[in-house]
Parts: sequence; structure tokens; C-alpha cells
Amino acid sequence: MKVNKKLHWLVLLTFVLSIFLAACNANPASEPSENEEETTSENEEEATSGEPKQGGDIIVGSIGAPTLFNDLYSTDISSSDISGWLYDGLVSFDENLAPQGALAKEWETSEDGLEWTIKLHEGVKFHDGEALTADDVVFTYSLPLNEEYTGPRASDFEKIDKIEAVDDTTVKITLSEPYAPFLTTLTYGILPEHILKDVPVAELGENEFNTKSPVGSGPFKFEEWKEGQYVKVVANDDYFNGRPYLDSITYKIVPDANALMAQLANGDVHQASVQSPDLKTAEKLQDDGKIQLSTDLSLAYTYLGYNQKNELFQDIKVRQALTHAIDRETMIQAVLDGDGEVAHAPASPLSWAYNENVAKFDYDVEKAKSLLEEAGWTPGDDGILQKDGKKFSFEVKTNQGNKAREQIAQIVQEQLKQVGIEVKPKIMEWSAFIEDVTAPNWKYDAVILGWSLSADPDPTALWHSKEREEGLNFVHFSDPELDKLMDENTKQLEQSDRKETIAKIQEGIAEQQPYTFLYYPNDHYALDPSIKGFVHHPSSEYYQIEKWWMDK
Amino acid sequence: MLSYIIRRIIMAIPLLIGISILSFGIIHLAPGDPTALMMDPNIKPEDMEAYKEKYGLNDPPHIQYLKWVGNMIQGDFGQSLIRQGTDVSFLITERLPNTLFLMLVSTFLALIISIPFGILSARKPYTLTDYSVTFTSFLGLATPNFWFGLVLIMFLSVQLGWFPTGGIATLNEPFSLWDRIHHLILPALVLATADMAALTRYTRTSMLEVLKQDYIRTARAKGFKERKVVYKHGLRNGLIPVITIFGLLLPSFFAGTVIVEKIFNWPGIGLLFIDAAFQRDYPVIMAITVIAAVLTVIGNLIADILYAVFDPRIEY
Amino acid sequence: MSQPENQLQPNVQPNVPVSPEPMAPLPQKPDTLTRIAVDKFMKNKLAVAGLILLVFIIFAAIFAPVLTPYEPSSQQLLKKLTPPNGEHWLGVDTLGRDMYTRMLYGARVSLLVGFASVAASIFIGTIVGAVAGYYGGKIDAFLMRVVDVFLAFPSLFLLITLVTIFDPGIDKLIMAFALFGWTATARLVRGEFLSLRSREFVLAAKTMGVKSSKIIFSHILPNAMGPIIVTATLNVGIVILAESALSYLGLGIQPPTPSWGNMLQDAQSLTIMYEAPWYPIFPGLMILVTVLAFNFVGDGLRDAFDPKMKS
Repeated sequence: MKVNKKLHWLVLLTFVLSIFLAACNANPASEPSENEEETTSENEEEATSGEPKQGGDIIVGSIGAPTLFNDLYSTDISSSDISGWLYDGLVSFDENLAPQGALAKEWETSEDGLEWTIKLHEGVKFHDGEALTADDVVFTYSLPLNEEYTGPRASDFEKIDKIEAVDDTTVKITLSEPYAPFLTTLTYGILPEHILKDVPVAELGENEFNTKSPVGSGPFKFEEWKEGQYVKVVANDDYFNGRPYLDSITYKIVPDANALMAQLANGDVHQASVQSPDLKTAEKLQDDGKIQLSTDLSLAYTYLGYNQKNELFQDIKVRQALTHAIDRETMIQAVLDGDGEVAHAPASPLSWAYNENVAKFDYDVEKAKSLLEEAGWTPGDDGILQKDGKKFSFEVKTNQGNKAREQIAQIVQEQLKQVGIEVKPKIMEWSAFIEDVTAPNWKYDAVILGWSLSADPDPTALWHSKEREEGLNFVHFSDPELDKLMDENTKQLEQSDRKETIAKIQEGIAEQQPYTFLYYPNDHYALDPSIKGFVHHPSSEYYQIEKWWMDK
Repeated sequence: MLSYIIRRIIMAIPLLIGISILSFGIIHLAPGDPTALMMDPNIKPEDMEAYKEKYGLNDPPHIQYLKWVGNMIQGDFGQSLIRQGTDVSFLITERLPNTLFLMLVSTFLALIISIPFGILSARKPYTLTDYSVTFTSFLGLATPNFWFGLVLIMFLSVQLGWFPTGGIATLNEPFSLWDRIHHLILPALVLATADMAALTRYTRTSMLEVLKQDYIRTARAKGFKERKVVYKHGLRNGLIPVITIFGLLLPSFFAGTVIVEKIFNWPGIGLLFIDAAFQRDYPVIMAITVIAAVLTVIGNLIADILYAVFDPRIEY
Repeated sequence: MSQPENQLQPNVQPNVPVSPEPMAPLPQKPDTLTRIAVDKFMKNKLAVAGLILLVFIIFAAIFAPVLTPYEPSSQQLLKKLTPPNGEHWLGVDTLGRDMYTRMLYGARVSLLVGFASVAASIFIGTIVGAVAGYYGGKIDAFLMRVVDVFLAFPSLFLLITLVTIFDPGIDKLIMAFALFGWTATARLVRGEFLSLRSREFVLAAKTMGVKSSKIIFSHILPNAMGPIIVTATLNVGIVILAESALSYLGLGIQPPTPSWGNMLQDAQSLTIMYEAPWYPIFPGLMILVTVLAFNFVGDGLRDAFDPKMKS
């Protein structure tokens, strides 16, 4: 779970992706891989336009640039997108966010939820021809548990008590406590033990393997990384789930959004993610037959968060009034050309745990005014609300480079002026902005940001009071009742029980409005008309790219 | 001559020290650090601390500076903070040739366009020709180049399809010189625009001076053809100051690359610099500023030496 | 343009705070020189046109609130990107704000940044240059090395670094521009001082025991004023352009405060070029025309002050 990835390049470049969603190149566990292979090889010869054809070199355009290809060390979305082509995890999440097997053929959980037995596919090979076995899984998932490990992912693995290989294709993992979201940990790509076993763990992050010669078992093999220009991968002929249709993928780095649109228009790139300000151009290109456009809700939301360390925002009535005073419908019209949905809850409608019956605070200036009056705020001589001689005036911070957020800041300023609140937008350079907002500084009044959500709906990381001092609960939301529910939810192994618990948590949060939940944005993917086999995934741009093919 | 060159090189040393101190000092005023980029609920503060410790971000500044300079002298600019396991020197060597190539072509373009116009202007000062040249070159100087670039891409690339929309070469195609040149034309033109104007102005001024000199008058009096007077006698002397100006324009060329490379997706150090600045990748930012400054110093050195070679009046 | 005997400076640089003391009489007779300069300037048609334009723009900026019925920040969100019409002469921007109004207020900001940073950089540059040129020797050598260090950097690199360090705001931006704009002035003033300090009138003042600071500011500086004014004029244009370049990178004046640079940046997109091609024209044209005007005026002044140039 982390900040919304779609809106701008800065975010793309800098924000940590959640790795859970990275490895999406797996076959459904239910479908035996042998059949797949047969079908593809049969079709190769006499393919007609309706059936997948072998071949094609695709160029995908991206605003962000990768840093290294190793899930245990990378923190940006470009890196994990590419490493998703090179490596396989044990499981992945499909377009409906349901877990599906990747390298894992099947898995079982003991009754107490502590013991996981995972059965791997047989005959899986790394790109160098060596077999991928349970030992490689044990090796990979033991790395973050090692004291010497320097990467940023240790906490994802902290619930693992013991991990062992039962035989070549069976892995047994013992957890220290039942942990419902554990499947998300199993998405990390498996590294080759035979190549990395002699590298000291402390130095693994800097090893050449990550940048010059990554070897995985994924559908594509690393070919070349031309600094600042592109990364090229080629089809893995021996992929356990059948050779990909495409011969190669070139990940082209185009840091300027306009340049990317121009490249798309000229066919210099075959695929790109379109940001909402450029949607109209993309639609025009689609009308001209130059691209096909795929649009769907993103697993993310954008919000205006209030720092409850600041006295202004400690009163629940004030926070509710603020939401009443903001016209989110019009905001979506203006900022996104209507391309998004108003958000009310701290979860995405795409999630199985989404609760739509939460309190809603619709646009209502009069209600906002009366709530503020109840809270003791009355208009002063200059029209600005006052209480005990203090003006209702605060600063809204957001990161520069994200046009939607910059515009939202200005809209919020104008709209809150209508109820007598003075807002000063402050648009900051990304890293200084994050430094100000997060622990231990909390140097902000209100903030406009977005979260990209994990496939697992666990709300702990953002809302639990234990996440205030160090974690991402930087609005200082705290509710002991909800804390208890959050502790409970990860231990509930029955999804329906857990759904109920999470529904209560969402109701509690929505009622208290620690954020004004603004909207759920859409993702737009532009593809060359010749690309077939594309499946829209709410959080993975290149979902199952090994199934894509070019009709040319 | 040799002793002059050596003397000039020695004079450059305090300059280089100053350059390193200034770039180091400025960057370390910065709030924010690379750990800000790792804002993820999965990254725990103790992991962040370990990261800072590892990259020496907790050392006192003067220690960091000395370490950095010491390594730099040995050609080691350290590792990128963002791109773990990647040497800064690798990033620079991959990218610098692209930028230098672009600058070289752009310089050439600027020279072959601006010098003839400068001369033209100087030959007929305060005439319609002069005013037109002046006006056009000022137009080049006053146009925001990011806008000029976008307009060119919009019309010449997207609408008419005459030029590629950006990048250095067509992907998935074998190397071809024409392809490279094709990709180069628009960015080089945009980069040259502003300096073209300056060069035209300098050429004009300098030629005006020269054309008033006695020896030109003498040449004219002797009945030489005007063309010969201007190009043979005038040009050689008139271009000498232009050489020095050229050295001074180098930094502005470097600066221009930041914008031009971003617009045209040119994989040079300007683009690298922007990314590094936003991500607070200190080693990369410092390496690029220092390298750009050092190259400027070298450029000026060469300009000075050329000046000395061409101008017999200079003693060294 | 006749001037009283005791105030011989051309009074065209109210923004150049160089003299902490009243101007003293010059031991030369530059009023005839000034007249020659004015005559020469008036003959340069481009320069005169530029000057008229600048005066016009400056007035528009000063009287912005009188010239428009709208507030620069008031939004009509659903009207966004309405093309120019009778109600909104220059159309409406991406957040439904009146473009004409924002152009006027943008002029204030852009000109303020231009003038203030140039004034500050001329101030620094003049002091450094004057001290270096007047005292010479080691002080001169040291200060000129410092100048060389600054000149060796591509200024945009340092500006970007500096602006990312302090968040972009008008005051910070002005500081950053000033910090990197003073070197040219310093060199120029130093050069003038080196040649002037051995002139008779300076030597005379020295033998009469006049204080150094007084000699610098009252006796030498006024004589070096011409080239300083020229640099200042040209630099205002450069700063306005540089602000727009920083805006392109997202580091210029921050919205909602309008500047021509950030308005142009707001329009910098293929989509806007297709949907509302009129939108970028206004801020783009204002930057172009204003920078042109500063250049013409600066160029005219250069020719006018240069005794070597004869028209």
C-alpha cells in the first residue's frame, strides 16, 4: 500500500510500489501448464487474426526509469514492473484481486493458520538453465530475515518464524502468529541460489546481479539496459508456462509526459499509461485509429488529510464540516474531466472488503457552516472564522509536478474561502514534501496525497495508532476500539469474518473523517491497435504480458 | 607558449577547489534525503536508519566532503543513493557523450548560422538588413525554449511526421548515421537558438570594431574588393573575440541541455541531473555540477589558448 | 532632457541601490555626454519601441486591480478553458479563472521577480566589483577567483539545486537569481574601476584625503554607471525567461500566484494545444515581447553609452 502511482511522473519515479502487486505474470493454478504449451505450439504455424501469433517486438513507454531488478531491494514502480517480467513469485493476484498460483501450484494452511505448505510447479528453470527448486525459495525468503540484510523489505517477512524445503518442490513456512495478508508476501520474485549463495548478504543490494545480469525464471530474459534510454528483455523459450508470444519487450524511458504522448501518437511506443490531463488527446488518437484505450478504476484513492496534532483538526465536527464544504463532484469534473468517482471510505470499491454503507458527507455549505458554528467558530471582521481570537487558517501541502493535486489545492483554497476558512496552498518539491509530512516531523497542517492500495485490505499500516510515531499514520488518527479491530483482522482466517471486521473499521474511520476522501481515479492504458490479449488489471500495468501478442 | 599553458592550468587549481566546495556546500543545505523516497508502510524506521548509516548520511559535513573529494580525485564519484549498486561514474560515462555530441552539433549549427548573419549585420549597420538580423536574433533570445521545442514537436513531428518525436535513435533498428542525425536536428536547433542570438550580436559588434580599423581603411583605399576586405582582413581579426565569448557561452549550453533533453527525451546528463535533483541523489548531483564546471574551465582554457595562438598581439 | 549641474546621472535606474550617499558633482562634464547618449538612443527605433512597450506593461501591472473587474484567483470550475469572448477577453484557464486578469497580475509578479533579483544582483556585483577594482592586489585576485568559480557553473544547474533546497517562493526565487546573477556585474564594475582608479580626479580626491568609500561611491561609481545600466536591463529579460524555464520544470513561482512562466507551463501540453490552442499564446507572447523589449532597450543603451560607437 502506498501513494497513488498514476497521477504523475514524480510519483512514478519516486514512490515505492508495493511489491505484492508486482509479480502478476503467473498462470492460474487451476490450469495445468502442459496444456498451455501445447496450444501455443500448435497455433504457431497457421495463426489467423483471431488467434495468438508468435513474434513481435513491443516498445512500452514509461515516464519513470528503473533502478535495479531485485524485488528485495527496489523501491520504485518501474523496477518492479520490469522485474515482474524477469522473475516469478509464488503467487500473484488476478484482475479481480483474487490470489492465483504462480510458481506455486497449490498451497495449504494448517488449521491454526501458522503453517503454510506450498507446492511448486515441476520443471521450472532459471534463465541460465538451472532448475528452480524449493531451496531457491528458502534462500530468497530467508534473505530479508538475515541480520545483515540492508534492503527495505524486512518487515514484510517478519511474521515468518521458520522456512524450510521439504523436498525439491515443497516449501513449509511457519509463522509466529496467524496472518491473513500473508499471501502478499509470497509475491516476491524468486532469486537463484546457485548464483547468489556466495555473495555476502550485506553486499547483495549493490551486487552487479541486480543491474547487469539479473537471472530469474520469468517469461522474459534480461538482454540489455541502456542507461537513460531503455531496458530490453527477450522471450524465455523455456518458460514453464509456455513461451510468451512476444519476441521482446523494450521498456523505453520517456521522462516528459508530453514527449510520451507525442511518441504514442507517432507509434514510437506501442503502449503507455495516459495521465488524466492528456485523456482527451488519447481519446482523439483512439478515434483516429492510432491507439486502443483501456480505462478502468484504479486500486487507489486521492485524499485531503488533516494533521490531528494541529488543534484545528482535533474536533470531529470541524473535520466533517470541511468535507461538507468541498464540492468533490465539481472537482472531479474540473480536474479529471469527470474521469473518477467520489470517494467516501478508506478502501477501494474494487476490494472484496469495501464497505459502501459508510457515513457520507456530501457538498453542503450551510451544513458546513452550522457544524463549524457548533464547534465554536464564528466569522470575524475580515470574514474569516475565529475562535478564542484564533483565525481558522491553515496550509495545504502537496507535491509539485502532479497537476491534479496542484489544482485540487487551489480548488480547496477557493471552496473553503466560501465558509470563511483561509487556506494557503503550498506546492513542494517531492522529497522535501515527504520529509515534512512524515514521522518524525509532521510539519504540515493538511496534505493532498493518494494511496495505491494493496490487494489485501488490511488497514493497519495507515490507521492503527501504533503506526503514528514511525509509520504512515502521519495524520495521527487514533481510536482504541478500531485498533482492537485492526489487530483482530489479520488473525481472522475466514474471509467473511474478516470482511465484517474491516467493514466496521471503515465505518469508524469514515465517520471521523481523518481525511476528506476525494476520489477514486481511473487508469488509462493506451495500446497500439495491433496488441491483443491485454487484460486490464487495477494495479498492474503489464499484467500477464506474456499473453500479449501482436496482430501484424 | 608551453609555459603559458602550464601557468594557466595551475591557475585553474584553486578554481577547481572552489567549485567543489561550492557544489558540496549548496547541496548539503538541503532538507530531505533519499529515504523520503521509500515511503512505504513496509519500510520500518530502523531500516531507514541502517540505510542512512550505510551511506554516511549521518557523518559530519566536513568528513563527508573530504571523503568525497578524496574519492573523486581517484575517479570515484561514489555510488548513486537511489540506484543502489550503480557507480556514478558509470552513469556519467554512459550519458556524457550524448550531451557532448548534442552540444557539439548545436555549437556547429550556432556558428554556421550566426557568424554570417553577424557579418552581414556589421557590413550594413543601422540598415533594414541590420535591424532584421537584430530583430530575429533577439527573437531567438527571447523565446522560452521549452515552448519552442514543444511547438516543433507538435508541428514537425506529430503533425507532419518529418522528424522523430524524441530520443537518440530508433529502437529495435540497426545503427544508421542518418537515423542519428535525424534524431539530432530538432534538439540541436532548439539548444542553439538562444546562443545563436548572442553569437550573432558578438560577431556584429566585433566586426564593426574591426571594420573601422586603419588597416581595413588602408585595404579599401588600395582598391581591394569589399568582399576580400571583409572576409580576408576583417574576419580573421573580427572572430578572435568571438572565440573567447564562446568559452563563456559553454555554461549556458550546459544549462540549455537540462530543458532540451527533457523535451526531446535525450538521454544526456541534463536529464540525469533533473532526476537526481528531484530525488536528492547527492553523489550524482555533485558529480554532474562538478563535471560541468570542470568542462567549462577546460573550455575556457582552450579558448584562452586559441586566443593566444590567433592573436599575435597577446604576449605570453 | 536637461539636468541640473549637481545631479548628472541619467535618472533611469531607480531600482539600482548603489549609492548610500548623495551623488556628488563629477569632475567631468557628462551632461553633454548624456545628451549625446539620449540622442543616440532616440535614434534607435527598436530601442524606443521597446521602451514605450515596457512603460505600457509596467503601468498595466501597477494598475491591474483597476483594469479588471475579476479577482485573479476566483474560479468558475465548470467554465474551464472557455475561449476568449466578450466577458472574458482572453478566455478562461484550466481552473476557470479569467485569463486577462491573470495576465495583468502575472505581469506584477514576473516584473517584480525580474526587477528585484536584478537590483539585488547589481547591488552585490557592484560592491564586489568596486572593492576588487579599487583595492586591487590580493583582494582583487581572491574576489575574481570567487567570481570565476561562480561563472564556471552552468547557472541553471545551481538554480535548480538551490530552488529544490529552499521551496520555491517569490522571495527565495529572487534570492537564488541574485546569488547567481551578480558575477557579470562584478567583472564589469571591476574593469571600469581598474581603468578609472588611476585617473586624475580619483588621484586628486585621494591626495585630498577623501575616504575610500566616498571615492568609490561618489567619484568612481557614477562614471561606471552606463555599462551597469545596460547589464541590468538585459538581465531583467534573462531573469524573466529563467523564471519561465524553472516553471517548466515545476520550480518557478508556485500557483495560485500567477506568473507568466507558470501560466505558460500550465498550457504546456499537447492536449491543450489541441483543445485550447489560444491558451498558451497569451503568456507566451507576453514573455516574448517583454524579454524582447528589455533586450532592445538594453541594446540601445549600450550603443548610446559606448563612446566608441558612432552612428
